[in-house]
Amino acid sequence: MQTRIPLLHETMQPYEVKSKEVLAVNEEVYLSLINNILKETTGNTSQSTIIVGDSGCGKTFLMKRLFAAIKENKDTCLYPIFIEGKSVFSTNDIWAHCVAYLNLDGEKNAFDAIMDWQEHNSKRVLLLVDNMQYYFERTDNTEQYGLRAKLNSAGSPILIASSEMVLPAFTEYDAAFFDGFKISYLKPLSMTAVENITKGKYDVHRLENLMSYMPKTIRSLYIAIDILGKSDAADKDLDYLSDYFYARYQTKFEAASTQMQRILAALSQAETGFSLSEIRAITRLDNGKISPYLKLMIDQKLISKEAKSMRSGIYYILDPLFKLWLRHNAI
Amino acid sequence: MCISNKIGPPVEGEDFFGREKEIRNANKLLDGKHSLLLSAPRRIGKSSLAKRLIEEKKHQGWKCVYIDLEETTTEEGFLRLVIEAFKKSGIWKQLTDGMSKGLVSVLDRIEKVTIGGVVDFNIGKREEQEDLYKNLKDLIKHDEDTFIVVDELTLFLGILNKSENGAEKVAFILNWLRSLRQVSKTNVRWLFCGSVGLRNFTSAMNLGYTINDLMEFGLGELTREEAEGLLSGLCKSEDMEMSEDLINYTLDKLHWNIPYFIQVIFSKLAEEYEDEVTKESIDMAYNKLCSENYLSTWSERLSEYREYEMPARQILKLLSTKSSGIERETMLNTLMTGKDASKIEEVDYLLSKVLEMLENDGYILKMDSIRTFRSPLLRDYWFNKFVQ
Repeated sequence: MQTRIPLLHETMQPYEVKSKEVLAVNEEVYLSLINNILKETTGNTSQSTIIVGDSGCGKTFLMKRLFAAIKENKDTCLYPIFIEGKSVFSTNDIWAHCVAYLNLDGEKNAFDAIMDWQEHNSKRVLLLVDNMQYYFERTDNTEQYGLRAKLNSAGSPILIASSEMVLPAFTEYDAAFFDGFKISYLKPLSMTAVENITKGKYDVHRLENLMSYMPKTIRSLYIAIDILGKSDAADKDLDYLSDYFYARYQTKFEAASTQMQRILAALSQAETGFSLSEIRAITRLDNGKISPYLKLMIDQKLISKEAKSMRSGIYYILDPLFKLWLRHNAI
Repeated sequence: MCISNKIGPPVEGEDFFGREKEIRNANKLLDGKHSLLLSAPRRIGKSSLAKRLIEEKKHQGWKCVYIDLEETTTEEGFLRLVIEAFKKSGIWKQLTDGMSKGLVSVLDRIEKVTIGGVVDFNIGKREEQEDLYKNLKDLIKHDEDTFIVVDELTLFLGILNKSENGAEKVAFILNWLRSLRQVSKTNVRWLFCGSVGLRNFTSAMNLGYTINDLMEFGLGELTREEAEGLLSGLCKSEDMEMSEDLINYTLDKLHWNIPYFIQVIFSKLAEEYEDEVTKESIDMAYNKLCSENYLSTWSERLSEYREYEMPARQILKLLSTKSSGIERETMLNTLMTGKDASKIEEVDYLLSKVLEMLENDGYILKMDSIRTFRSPLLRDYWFNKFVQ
């Protein structure tokens, strides 16, 4: 089966899961999760799991694979329900989504209705909540304690969630979910994985060059493959890459003040980075005008400072793709 | 027996208690012409043990030197300390006829240093630096039984490493020290002490070969018998009554019986002592220690960890919340909080480094797959100070 390459922000659909190209990514985490889930029974207390990975690394697809695999498995007591975290504003929303999915009577308490349904059908709900960070950002500790208490009761729905980051809500001592999740990390894509996925169909050096500007994720690889399909020569690859993200970085650039734009344009010319005096020489701005903006840009994570000694250091643009875009469009 | 309760500085003379087995072993190794490496957590009594060994070796007629490198941060300072200490203990040769001009000139500079003069060692230039160190090596009397203790070597080298051309300076000093130990038929024996592991430090810099000749020498908590003896000796020195049961109760509470913890809890008990020590007064003394600043040095010295200080603090804070200990995975998740998931391998390595440092320094201990605070006293202090 030939894999269709998804668009920029599109996630592959679960019916495409059997493609071997896709299976090569995050396989280890997938197998570990599916093996553990299938050991669950209807009456035990389960371990909540959260899959953490950068945007585009395949979290949603992994969740959809789990959904599809459980749905197809006739031997398991598990009943998967997929929920998009962006639509969850409270704990009740989670239960309400389940009630709607299961077509249950809306008069009863939603959680109790789910528990009754489970008992009646000898099933156990497997909640697959993608982008769970939205829930944690939108709810307070008390609300989260409520969710944890429900999840920790025997036979209650099992939660597998995804998040772009480990949040303080999972690791701070007084947080409801302190030590409450088993966290599975999706690691960055290595070049060996890239070679395994592409199987010699593409020029690995060109892919590697393009990937060096982007996060090491499967989405970035799809973008790089797409560019190789359009670009007829290696020296044009980066022009295409810069074009691919034109709108995103144009917005980012315009959101910066004039002085910041000037400093960013200057820093984009550096091979590694520039010292304060070098920035001053290029921008012809006074130190007093540069320093506050540098600090602001560090806070906004646009740039970073690498200390050479206690008092000096070099400043550089954090996102290599933004730097590339600036070189193509702002100098 | 009368022991005075000294908290902080290394103890000497009659105030030194126990460690008989360790001293016997160290003496055996030194007499066998071995040089030693003593890496053990801070406050465990390394310097006190080293000073005790010096006392014993002095009795045997050896020349002894104690150099504390905590007092310096530069190569110049290191040289000054070494020169002064060697001069004071008569380690340098005397001026004799036939000595090379180079040696005479270095001896002249040594004289000036030791009377407080300002001396430029010209260590900026590589050739002059090599000449100077070579001459210093030739000026040491290698035929006499000599015992040189160098305390906090790793701490000093760690700081030096951060200076300009630091790695080169560190390699030079370690190689020089090695060359001193390798002089044929030398009777000079060395003891290097440090709470930060010298082996980890040198191996990270590919300089492991510079210390391969040193015999590793460990120092743990006091044996139960020694701990009981120390506490009971301290009681006697203050005319305080403490039954065997209460001594055991105190030591059980401390759990990790290093001299420093026994001394600090005793000082609290002595402060509040009226007629008798009770379990309640021991609990009270313990709780006071957890809420006061006696243990603040453990927090302050984390600044030596430099870029590892913040993650070390995060780990200790987390560990203080659970007396049963915490799995590595939970610690990794804490360090990953708020970071891009792609940093996982970097953070994982950082965690390994931090855990190794905290274990070496005696903050924590690994038991199966979990880590805990080595001392419940320190854990309770940490929880009171940084969590509650």
